[in-house]
Amino acid sequence: MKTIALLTVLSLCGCGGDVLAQTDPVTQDIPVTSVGLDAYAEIALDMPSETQGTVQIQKVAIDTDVVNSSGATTMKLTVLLSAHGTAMPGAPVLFTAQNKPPEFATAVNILGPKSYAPASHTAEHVESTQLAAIVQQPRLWIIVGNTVTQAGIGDGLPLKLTLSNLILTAHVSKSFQGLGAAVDVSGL
Amino acid sequence: MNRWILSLLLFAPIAGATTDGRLLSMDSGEVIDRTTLGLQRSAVALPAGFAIDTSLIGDLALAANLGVRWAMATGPHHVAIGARYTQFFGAPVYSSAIAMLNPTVKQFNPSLSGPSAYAAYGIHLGQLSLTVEGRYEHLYYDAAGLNVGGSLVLGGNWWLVAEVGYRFFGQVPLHASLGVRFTGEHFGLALGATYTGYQDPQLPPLPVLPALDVFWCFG
Repeated sequence: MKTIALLTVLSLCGCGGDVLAQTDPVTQDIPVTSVGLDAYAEIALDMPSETQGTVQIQKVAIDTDVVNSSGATTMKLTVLLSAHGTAMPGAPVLFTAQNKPPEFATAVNILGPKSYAPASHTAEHVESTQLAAIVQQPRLWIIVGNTVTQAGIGDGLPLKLTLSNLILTAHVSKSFQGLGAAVDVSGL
Repeated sequence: MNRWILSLLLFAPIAGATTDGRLLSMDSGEVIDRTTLGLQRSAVALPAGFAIDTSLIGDLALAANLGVRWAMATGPHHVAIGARYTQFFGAPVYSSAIAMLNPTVKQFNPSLSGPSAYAAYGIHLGQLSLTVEGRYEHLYYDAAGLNVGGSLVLGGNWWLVAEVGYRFFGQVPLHASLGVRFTGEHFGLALGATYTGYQDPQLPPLPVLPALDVFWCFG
């Protein structure tokens, strides 16, 4: 029923449109269990169907809040983008620098390493041409890494860096040019 | 009025068949000499073969449009040329509708504004009428097409209509429509289907769209 309604609206259009689509917010902790050993989390994100098919990608951005909830430890965040991965949506894969998966080698860095002070809450906005290129596949993987070189006094393991409400926003232009037939029957 | 109803029921042939200048999904090239109220075309007839027209379907879909048409007939031949400008006002409405149906989409700004023009030549050959139409549109995208339509008398005022055409630049190059038309003295209708071949990851495959036209001529 929802599809029929969507179809009716779009066929009445027979036109083109600018679409802003967003993924559902994802919150992910990256726990460091051993100081000096980088910890990673691989998150799978399914792209909105609006970004698939014949679209022109205008802009793609990732917005998230980076939360360092420790009392005294500075943590460094790295964000990588991969076209391949093993994680599933809702089921991230955690690993360390000692057991990196194969896709790590081909993943593209889009942020960092960037340091976050203890007890900080920072909003990050990442835009990248690599992101725009990769967004047209149905699923992409974000690998987030946490580097702790020195634990602060009073902070116990694991030391967690949290990416809160990570949202991917895609701004695309979609031409419903294929619905030329709709324009023909409308008499326009 | 009674004669009209009777003819509609008995499909008796009537002189001065009515037209709104449309077949199923293309222009018919015929002269519009009476004020017409129709879905695919509503027109006010002006002297010397001119007419001001609008597509009611477009207007109802919030794509307000206004066009000018000139047509002439000599013997079995008739030609028409026309142009139209469309201004889309429905962006907020469609955006809300899409956002309601699909929460992933935060904003949808459709656009269907721009000029379009067409020229058609037709010929009546007894039971068969043929029309060739060339059209060009610049509505968010460029589209141009060449269509050929044929109408064959089925009986009385009923016609079988088939159209085939080619779209330049389009994603779907084939234009094909099939249906029937009825043209009475004051009333006419066209019913059929047009091939779309539209594929989109968001929607189920849409092979055809209905082609519908209903019109009344006054005067």
